[in-house]
Amino acid sequence: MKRFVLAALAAVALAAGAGCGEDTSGPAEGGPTPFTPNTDGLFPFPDTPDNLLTLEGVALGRELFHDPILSGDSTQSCATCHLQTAAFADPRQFSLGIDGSPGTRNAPVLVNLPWSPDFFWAGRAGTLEDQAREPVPNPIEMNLPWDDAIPRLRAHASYPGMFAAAFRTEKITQDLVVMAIAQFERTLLSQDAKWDRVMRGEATFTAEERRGLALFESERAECFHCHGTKLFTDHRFHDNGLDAMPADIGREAVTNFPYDRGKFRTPSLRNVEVSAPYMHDGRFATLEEVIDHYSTGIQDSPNLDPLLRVIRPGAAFTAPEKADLLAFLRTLTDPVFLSNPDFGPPE
Amino acid sequence: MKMTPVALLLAAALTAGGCGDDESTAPTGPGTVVIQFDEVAGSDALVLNTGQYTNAVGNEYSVSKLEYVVSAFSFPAAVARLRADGDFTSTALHYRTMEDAATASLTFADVPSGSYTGMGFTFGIDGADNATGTHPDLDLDGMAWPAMMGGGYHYMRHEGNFTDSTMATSAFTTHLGPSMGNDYSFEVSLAHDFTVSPGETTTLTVRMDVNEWYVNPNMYDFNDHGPIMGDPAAQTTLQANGASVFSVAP
Repeated sequence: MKRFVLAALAAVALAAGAGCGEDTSGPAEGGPTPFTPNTDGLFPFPDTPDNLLTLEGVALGRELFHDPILSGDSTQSCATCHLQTAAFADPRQFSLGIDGSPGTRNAPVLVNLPWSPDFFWAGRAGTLEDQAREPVPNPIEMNLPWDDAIPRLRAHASYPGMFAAAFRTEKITQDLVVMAIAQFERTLLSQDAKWDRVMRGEATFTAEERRGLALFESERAECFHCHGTKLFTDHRFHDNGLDAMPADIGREAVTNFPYDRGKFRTPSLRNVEVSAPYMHDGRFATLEEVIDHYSTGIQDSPNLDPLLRVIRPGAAFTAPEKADLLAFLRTLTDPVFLSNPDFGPPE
Repeated sequence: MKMTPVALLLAAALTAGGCGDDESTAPTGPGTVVIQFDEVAGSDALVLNTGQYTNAVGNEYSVSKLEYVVSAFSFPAAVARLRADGDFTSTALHYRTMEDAATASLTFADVPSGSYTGMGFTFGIDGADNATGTHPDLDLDGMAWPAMMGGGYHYMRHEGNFTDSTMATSAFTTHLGPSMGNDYSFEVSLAHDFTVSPGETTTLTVRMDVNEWYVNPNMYDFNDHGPIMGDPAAQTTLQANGASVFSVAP
């Protein structure tokens, strides 16, 4: 992947150089370079016919993701609240906007997004592109109206050329900005955790980890039914019994169905060890607190998922079992993903 | 040329044979069969989350999830129909979830035209074909059955709430599958005459009556059962009850 990105950057640099001082309102010569990320450890990469991945598009999206130019006072980028070392989540319970305003939900991890059918905790965005539209103008986040963001990009020394390389036009629009960011985000793939290596036969679980896996896949704990598949999420919405009367109506705000009150999407557990705090409101600072919730803390909320209602108040883990489960969850940490330079700020 | 009486008779016979219902000159070529999946609870259409139902056991319940896998469809040819290709068979596997309307139909193209007497399919996946990792699409759908309980894939996830014997709200999670390495899939055979015409589509509705899972021939009370993925006795009971679950809707 790294050599592809370097090639893309070279292509972008050439295109940008060709665009300076010339009429570059037309398509760039050569065109963007399509590619499909390696997802051998996961599932076939889904088609995105409305936004095909290209090396140039991904490079541009990476640039934009890390660039504070998209915030009102040029101090915040997407990466300010989505830190790679935290699996692109935010270690703060609530992210702070450029004006210091706190958000209302914990910033979720950005991992293995191509298979997700919707985005945000309540699923209000149907595509990654639509999700990317929201934080930029949000007054409590980056607080830069798109009508102000676009001229900034157009006036930038490099962006017109990068957009030309990626989309065959220097006419930068909001659509193209979010398409580029989405392309980059679709490359944030995690498939090299210890769990993956065990599945490939390249490593073995310790006895503790194996016991933890058995608990994870038991009907006693029910973890696997929601946090299943290689993605460790079913992408669906559940009330997991955090509160007897949920204050945050969650999915109901999107569907208007009362039976969706208090439901939030299942987050992926990949890299869960480093993505604290947990739950939609970041109420649990540690994984131990999460395990305690599922051990004895499941509340009888109106829309509590049947999978958890059958085990309420919880799995009643013993102390050794909690340690085993924790050990298994740590096998989902992917050091390659967390340190991949292709995901970090462009040099 | 003047025709003799014999020639006239022969000409008449040939001409008569060319008109009407001679199979040797009937249109040929395949047609399409579409299976529509329909779910009910007795006489009521099944509606997720909001529908309230009562089965013959007396369990009052609602359904939050219903998804299942059917596979290996076949359409037995009518015995009276002479055709070289015989029965239609398919190894196709279909995942149906009520949360996605796109899974409500299954299309079989290139079905030889002719008369058929019904359909057969496997509820679930035959044991020989139900091993972990062999159906990646089902992995992505969340239907994998844990290795510690036998591996392979779920046949069905039927989940919801019911009013228990203490009048409190409890939950049921009827998960059917290859529990502890045993094969609880079963064959469904439905008699239903239908015809496939060249270039045309025939639609058949396969109906699941969820109430039948719990009453016939074995009464299965939600009050008496928790999670059953690791419960071979419950799996055996529901496998037997499955014989009356499916029908072809008129």
